[in-house]
Amino acid sequence: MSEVTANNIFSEKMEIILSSARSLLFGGEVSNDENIIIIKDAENHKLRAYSSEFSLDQEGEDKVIVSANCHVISYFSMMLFGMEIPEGEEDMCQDGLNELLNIIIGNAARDLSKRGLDFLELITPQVGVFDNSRDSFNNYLVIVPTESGEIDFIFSLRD
Amino acid sequence: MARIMVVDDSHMIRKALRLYLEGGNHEIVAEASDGEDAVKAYAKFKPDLVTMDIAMPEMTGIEALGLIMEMDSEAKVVMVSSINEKDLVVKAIELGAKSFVLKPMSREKTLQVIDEVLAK
Repeated sequence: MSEVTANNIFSEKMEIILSSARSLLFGGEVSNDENIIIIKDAENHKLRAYSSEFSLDQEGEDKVIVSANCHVISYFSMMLFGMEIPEGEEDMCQDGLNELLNIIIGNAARDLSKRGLDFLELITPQVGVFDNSRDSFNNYLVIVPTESGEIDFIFSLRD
Repeated sequence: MARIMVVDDSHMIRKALRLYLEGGNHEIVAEASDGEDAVKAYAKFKPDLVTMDIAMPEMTGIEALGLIMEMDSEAKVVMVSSINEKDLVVKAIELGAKSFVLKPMSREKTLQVIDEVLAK
């Protein structure tokens, strides 16, 4: 695995989605890029407890997967919906992560569309199953630190 | 106080909406996690208002809205949508939905929209 800088993001899709994520996760203020770690060739990255996946093209080949632990999801559930995830109701962690990814992608869709990168039909995020065996794909791991812990974004994009 | 049904495939969103609405002195008479159950529950409970998610597995919120409007042309349905579902919100309004709220929805905005629709 090798690190790349936040200024060296090779994919426009990835850049727009990360910008949307940072805007949402940091309450509308884009955080300092230096805090975000980007790792190339992240094929062997292990997902955190909960993950959710969204296709970034009509063929369902390019993907973004967001992955986080429940206490981080609960923090953002409180921030976005005014409700922490109660103990013993862990199924809501997956729901919360799906909603988070849905909102990030929804916000990114406007900017993607402006740049002619329309890809969205109505797709509900799926529980992530990161397939790291796909040839001819670049896998980028982006670790976003937040007040409550880290959130991982994995971009699996065609060469 | 109104009798409200909440329809969303996300347990978390149903719980958040329940908190908002009960905090606004409304009663949740039913919850449904997909469109088919929503149509059945509407027939059974005849709520004063329905909050309806758009993207759900099996039967979508748009399809369920259409069936509810066929059953009761006076039904008050408020769509709950993501920002990328703009075209579907327009379709829902054409089918008879009274308004919509965007996710992430705040308690204040949700209650404002629902109270406006109930007052019509």
